Amino acid sequence: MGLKIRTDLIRRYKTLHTWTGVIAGFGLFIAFYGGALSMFKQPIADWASPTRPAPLADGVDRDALFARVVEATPDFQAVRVHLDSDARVPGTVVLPTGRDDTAPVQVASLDAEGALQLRERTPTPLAEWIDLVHRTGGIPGDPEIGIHVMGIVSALYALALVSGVIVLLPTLAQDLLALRIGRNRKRMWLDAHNLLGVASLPFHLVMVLSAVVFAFHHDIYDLQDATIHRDSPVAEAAYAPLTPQPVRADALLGPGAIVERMHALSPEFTVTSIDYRGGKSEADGTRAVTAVVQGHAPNRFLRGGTFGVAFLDAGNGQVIGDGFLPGHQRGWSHAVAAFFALHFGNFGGPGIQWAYFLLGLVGAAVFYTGNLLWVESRRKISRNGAPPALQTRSARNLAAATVGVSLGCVIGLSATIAAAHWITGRVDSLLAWHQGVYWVVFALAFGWAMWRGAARSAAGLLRASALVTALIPATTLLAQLWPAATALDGVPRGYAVELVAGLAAVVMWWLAGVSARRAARVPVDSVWSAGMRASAPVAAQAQVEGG
Amino acid sequence: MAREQLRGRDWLSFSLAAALPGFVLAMALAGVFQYLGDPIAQDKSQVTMWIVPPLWMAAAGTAFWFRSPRAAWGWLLLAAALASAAVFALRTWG
Repeated sequence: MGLKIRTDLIRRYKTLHTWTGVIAGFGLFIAFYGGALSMFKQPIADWASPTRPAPLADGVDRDALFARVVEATPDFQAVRVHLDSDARVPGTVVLPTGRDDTAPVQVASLDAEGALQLRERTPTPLAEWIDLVHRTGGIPGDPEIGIHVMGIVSALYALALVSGVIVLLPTLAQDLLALRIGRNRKRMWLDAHNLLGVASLPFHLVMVLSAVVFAFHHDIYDLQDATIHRDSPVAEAAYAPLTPQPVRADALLGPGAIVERMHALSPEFTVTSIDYRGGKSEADGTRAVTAVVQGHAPNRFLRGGTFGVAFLDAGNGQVIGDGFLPGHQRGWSHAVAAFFALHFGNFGGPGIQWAYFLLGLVGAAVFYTGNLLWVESRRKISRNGAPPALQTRSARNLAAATVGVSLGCVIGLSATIAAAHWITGRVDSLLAWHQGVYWVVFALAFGWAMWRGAARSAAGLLRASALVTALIPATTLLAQLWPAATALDGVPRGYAVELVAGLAAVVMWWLAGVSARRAARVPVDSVWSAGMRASAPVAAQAQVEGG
Repeated sequence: MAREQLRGRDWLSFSLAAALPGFVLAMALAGVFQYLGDPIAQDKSQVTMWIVPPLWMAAAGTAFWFRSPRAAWGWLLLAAALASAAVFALRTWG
């Protein structure tokens, strides 16, 4: 039972599915694996932020400190006040030096005599870097380059999803719920690929379409303003929110008053931070200041990764924008918040976070099985005891690159997380170190896979993944005996990062065993056989050795 | 029916039809969405941006359905022209 589609169209869409899927598959593995880890961005950020030295402004009255900072720097660009007592941030009242979350901040504190001090601290960049790998594929250079490449990858993937569904439609009923495990490996992989793909199709559609938006939103807005919105009030309306009334710096509402104001607006909303953003100074010494209030509310669509946002006039507390205040989102704003929230998985607490985490890992598995299919369907089969047919160069390279990129990303991310133990607070540029560790490890794994081939590198690289991942909890354990082993000091949430890493290491070790057994068992003409060699002379030698 | 043989340039032409007139069609349809009903409703222009990728990908997926690359270009250009005319009409008289 299925839809009738002309066979030449099916063939055409199958080709489209194969090529878009294979090209996009590499980037998608990284996007999905990195995205799965990014579901726990905040816990990872807290884990990697040591409490030594102690937060500079602890115990200080926020309102008083804020007033002192504003008094000392009345022409501030931005002052940020953190109110989430659980989050490990460099300080309670800080002056950001850039818009980037990894940029250093000036942390305000009062010394023993009550004099204001500003000291520079850099937030721990680990979680931000993992998120950047997710968004850029880990491509070095200006993040915008990687983001645009991943946007193209996402667009190709959207085509792969559409064409994959079209190819499957005519035989949907008979193929979908069949998992034919047996001698026909290709059939089995195809069944697994179809089942995983269809079961997670809604998730993948949401992810891929929102990812294209995230990559190209500036470009699309600019193009729309130049075309469909030209000379229309729509273009201006989007960029001109209400402006606050200019006030003198000493008349600004303090953090306490803003929190009170927010509580009156929305009792369910918990404020986590307030950004005071100053506008241009007027002739009379006043200026318009916007309070950008971030926070969360349970079981609501959140416009940001883990937060909703409201804009207040920091002088009189009037609401100048509540379109993205959870629970207050109406009409089109609610639709937009839903688009964002469905990508971030921030609308249902830890249950949804874990579901997204698992769906992300399953997504990575779909790309892995997809590339396996491509390779196995191009096998030249050796018959009647003839010497093993050499596989095409493209099949060998694709298989090796699949293993190299996927496991390079896995080992690289584990290594960059483990490195937090040793480099935090001990090197100058933490971000550069975290990036360097990832890139070097990724390059080594990729080079190893391309040199050794898929089958003969997969098991070893999986063992390396397991060992490197195990360093994350092992270092914490070692630090129980020898505290200098780690610069970190655990988190209030307990050992969640260590537990998950330990479990992942066990799973990786098990997969390494599966991989090694497969390499030893499959026909020698498969790219997944450890007996296969990369070139003809070596292949001949392998036979002499009985490989 | 004879087995279809698409050459490399056919694939290129299909792909360009998906990328170019497919995108123009998506942009124009987003414009129809914006100017049908209240165009300056709060944050509606953000939805108008958000719907471009889904519309574009739908058009791109459809491009390969046409009999030939030439047909894909022709129909998608025609659809883009009609949708653009609709935006113009909505903005002028809507």
